[in-house]
Amino acid sequence: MGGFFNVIWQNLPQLIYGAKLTLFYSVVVIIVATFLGLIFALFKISHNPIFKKTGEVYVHIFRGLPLLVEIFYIYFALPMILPLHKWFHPYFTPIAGILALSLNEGAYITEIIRAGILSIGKGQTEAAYSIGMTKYKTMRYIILPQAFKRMIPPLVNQFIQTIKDTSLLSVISISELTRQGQIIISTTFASLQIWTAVAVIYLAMIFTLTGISGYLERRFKIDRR
Amino acid sequence: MLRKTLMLFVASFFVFSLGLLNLAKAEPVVKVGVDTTFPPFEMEEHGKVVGFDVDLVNAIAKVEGFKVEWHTMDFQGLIPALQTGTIQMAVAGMTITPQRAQVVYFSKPYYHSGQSILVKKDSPIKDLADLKGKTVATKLGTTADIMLSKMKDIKVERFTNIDDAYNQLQNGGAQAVVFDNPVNINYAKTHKNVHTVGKLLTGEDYGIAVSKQDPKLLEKVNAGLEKIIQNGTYLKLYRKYFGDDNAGLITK
Repeated sequence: MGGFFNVIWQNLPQLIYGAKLTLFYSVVVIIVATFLGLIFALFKISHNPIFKKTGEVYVHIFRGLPLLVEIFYIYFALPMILPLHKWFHPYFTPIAGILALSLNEGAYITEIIRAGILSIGKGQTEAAYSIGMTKYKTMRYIILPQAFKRMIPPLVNQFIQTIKDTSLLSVISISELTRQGQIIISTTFASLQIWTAVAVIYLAMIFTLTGISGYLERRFKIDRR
Repeated sequence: MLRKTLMLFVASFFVFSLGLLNLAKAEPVVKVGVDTTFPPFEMEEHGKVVGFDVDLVNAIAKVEGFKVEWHTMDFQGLIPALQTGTIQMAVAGMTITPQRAQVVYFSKPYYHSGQSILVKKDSPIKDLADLKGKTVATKLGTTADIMLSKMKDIKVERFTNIDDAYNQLQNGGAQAVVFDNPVNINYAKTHKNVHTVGKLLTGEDYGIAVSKQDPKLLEKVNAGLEKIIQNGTYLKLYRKYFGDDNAGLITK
């Protein structure tokens, strides 16, 4: 029976390399997307019509397209009109991947953060203004910290989605975990063993993230209002 | 009640025997997998699967008496599909290799090929050695991929479709494409800004892959291939797609 699993052990270094890349892209995208989400959420709740419209357009476009199409567009379509490979040489492939994923996830995070902020009663904002806090100070010290607690479950959900979405980067030849699986199978033909190994590694990563999220929920006691 | 039951019995017997008759008369249907992004061996035109490989398999099917059901899929999925029996045959300009032969059957060779390097006309790359330090695009799971993966100092970008690899060359993401020579030549015909350089790398034979669940089918395919070579059909098909260029011709 050991012989059946041999192909996994023989190719484990490659699979681990792919898993490391998956983690790398997931972490970078989560950071960039959260940053984008915060900016555009604040845009959308702003009273300034230009900011508001910009936020709405951003969410409409990047939530309105399949992620795969966004990846293809940035990687295969744009380089036909702009010499992107030359400008970003030799990093255009990872940049394109991070950009496509961050813009897409960022649109969803925008809505999560916006919902979190709006769920904090107007009373909080009014009270803050009445003791002379500026808009910035209110947001920074009163609203966002309270909103953050509420955003943890849907944000963790989105982060898990991000880890899974990195598998789509395989189509632009980024050698993350899914792609490594395909590459190994193309020479070993061991579809059953390799896809099982890939699945187990993804489950391990996401299970760990879920564990961290549980810890955060307990730490911030979000089940108590 | 008895009358109704009798009529029902006769009707179903009639339908059943018609079905049996059909089964007996019908030719066996063979599911053939193909990746239609490999001109001029297999392409899709107006929703129809066409190309040298397609005509070849159709000719063999006609002379051996079976029907072909074409299933298009990615090249890297063909051998797994043969392993699970989803398809019984696959034709895709597939090179016969010892590793592949361990998991699928191969017919006798039907085309002799090799890899070549495709670059832009103003490229300084002239042969395999010049690829050092460069980015080379190719198709995942092909013998080009296998060859490039063994070389040092080359960044290999693997795409599911060779078109994406060619695009990568066009927009500057890769400095060269290494792939089966006939496909490169075919691409260079319609894209005047690229050409092949260096001599033909490797020598490889294409074979029709048959699922190991079906050894009888392998015999039929080889018999059919032999027949169409003997009766001149093979040569006619070859000339239709490759004209007078005899490089790929299988001579018996």
